[in-house]
Amino acid sequence: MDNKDLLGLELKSIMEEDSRDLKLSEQAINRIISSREKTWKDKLNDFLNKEIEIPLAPALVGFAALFVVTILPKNIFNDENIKIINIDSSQIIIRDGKEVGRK
Amino acid sequence: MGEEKLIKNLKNGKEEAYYELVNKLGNKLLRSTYLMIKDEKEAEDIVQETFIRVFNNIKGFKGNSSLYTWVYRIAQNITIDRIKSKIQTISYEDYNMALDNTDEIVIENINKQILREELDKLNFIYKQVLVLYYFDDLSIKEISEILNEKEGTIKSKLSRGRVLLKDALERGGKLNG
Repeated sequence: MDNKDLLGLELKSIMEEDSRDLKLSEQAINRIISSREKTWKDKLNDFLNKEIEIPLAPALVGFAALFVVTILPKNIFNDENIKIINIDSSQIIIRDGKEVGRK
Repeated sequence: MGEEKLIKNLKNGKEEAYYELVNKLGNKLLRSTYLMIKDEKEAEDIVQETFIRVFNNIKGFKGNSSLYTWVYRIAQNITIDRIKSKIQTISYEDYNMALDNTDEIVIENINKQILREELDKLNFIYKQVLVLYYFDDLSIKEISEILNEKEGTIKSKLSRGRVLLKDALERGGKLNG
């Protein structure tokens, strides 16, 4: 079978001309590639690349709570029970509790 | 990337191997399918389905044929499934009719426009073989593997298709087959 005879050459030329502009679209290629079975590595990458959306109001409340717990001194809101006894020019201060450090 | 390595990488799920196969065969398959069915959207759907089926079954590919032949076979099976209702069956005698004058088609002047129209009108089973042979540059042996038919049958279809086109050209654009 000769594919170089006149009829063969004309057929090839017509087929080339008629389909010249056809190309798979980007969407089609993406659909094809995304259809493949994913490996554990792909799944891990997908997870790490995932965009996480955090709603602003709960995020601010959470951040404020974290700030209060970690940054502010523990006793800032405690009302210390202090008694002051005046004896002449001296004062005796009595507290409920006080941290004592070793020198 | 050689074919063996490509198959290995496909089986290991490497993304670059998937892109390589799609880049290598995607447009060629799309054009070839379009030439057979003349429906751009349907052709793209067939190509998509072909690759999806290839990727889903690549682990079971045993290498009895080349990877490309296997991909083409899947594409042809999907194409035939989709247009089954439109394919006219041809008798065995019809295939053999053309064998006597297979290589002796002499045409002095070809009206390209008439040839194009007649090619479009040609029965799918002839057009399919003509496209695989002339456009995809596949050998008779490769086409017989793709279509799972004997080489003699492919030769007959090819000859019959050519004879029908030649006759139509001689009559100025009227197909008999």
